[in-house]
Amino acid sequence: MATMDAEHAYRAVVEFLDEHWRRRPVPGDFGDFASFCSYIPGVGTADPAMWTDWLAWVKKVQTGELVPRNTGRRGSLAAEMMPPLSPEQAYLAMFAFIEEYWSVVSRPAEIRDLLGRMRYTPGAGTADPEMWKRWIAAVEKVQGNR
Amino acid sequence: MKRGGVGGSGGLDSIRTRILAAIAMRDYQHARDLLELAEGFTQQERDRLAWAITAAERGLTPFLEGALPHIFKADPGHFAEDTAEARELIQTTVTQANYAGIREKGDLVYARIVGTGAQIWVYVRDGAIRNGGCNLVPRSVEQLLR
Repeated sequence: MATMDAEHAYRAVVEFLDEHWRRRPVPGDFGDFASFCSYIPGVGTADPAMWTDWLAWVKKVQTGELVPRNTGRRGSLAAEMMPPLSPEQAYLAMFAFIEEYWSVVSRPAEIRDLLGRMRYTPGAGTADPEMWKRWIAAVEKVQGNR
Repeated sequence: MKRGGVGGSGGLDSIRTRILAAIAMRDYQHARDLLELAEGFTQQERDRLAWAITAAERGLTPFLEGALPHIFKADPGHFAEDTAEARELIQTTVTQANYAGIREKGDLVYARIVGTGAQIWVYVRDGAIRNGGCNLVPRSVEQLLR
């Protein structure tokens, strides 16, 4: 499967989150998160910090260096600075991106449960195999729309 | 003669909890008394608690406590610090006059332009502020709701 730039990878993240929402469209902590993450090309994410939080985790997966949150330094990150990601790298960045939000907002159970199903072990896959299938479907959908 | 202060043995967290409990009980005078007698708070924390009492007295929409570390942070679209002034800007935006609409995942959106030209944006669900901040470049209502 082809690599993606950071923006297309983020669109796959949004598609993955939206698919999860469509399966249980009940307002709550997950719905809040997914809502903040929604993305308008050329404008940005609904919550502007979600975009730079995403880029911080893309950079972390690619280089091992995490630009810390709440320092003002994430605002200088740009998608053009990031090399393309493999679907596996993008998945790992997505997991860490969601996990950071979860830990900051008092660890809501709804998101904890999702993270438990998403947990990824190289060579073994995701704790719930359905999560990887949905991720690949999200990636293919975004790549098909290019 | 030195007045009898509170803050030593119980700790600031305990006093903060007692003030928030008094606010929840709508015993605003007691909350003010506790705050006045408390020792050890920074001026910023004291101002923030004083504002919390005033905001509750005025019937303004409260913040979801767990969301505060996400709302106040030095990242794009957010207020860098959790101050009384920033809280007031956000909470006083949640009025019928500033209502923009409802997002797909259930958040009510409020927004207004302030004197600096910046846009205050707020997401509310179940009677509590879940997210909010300040866009230096204002977004249209359509963009806020997508």
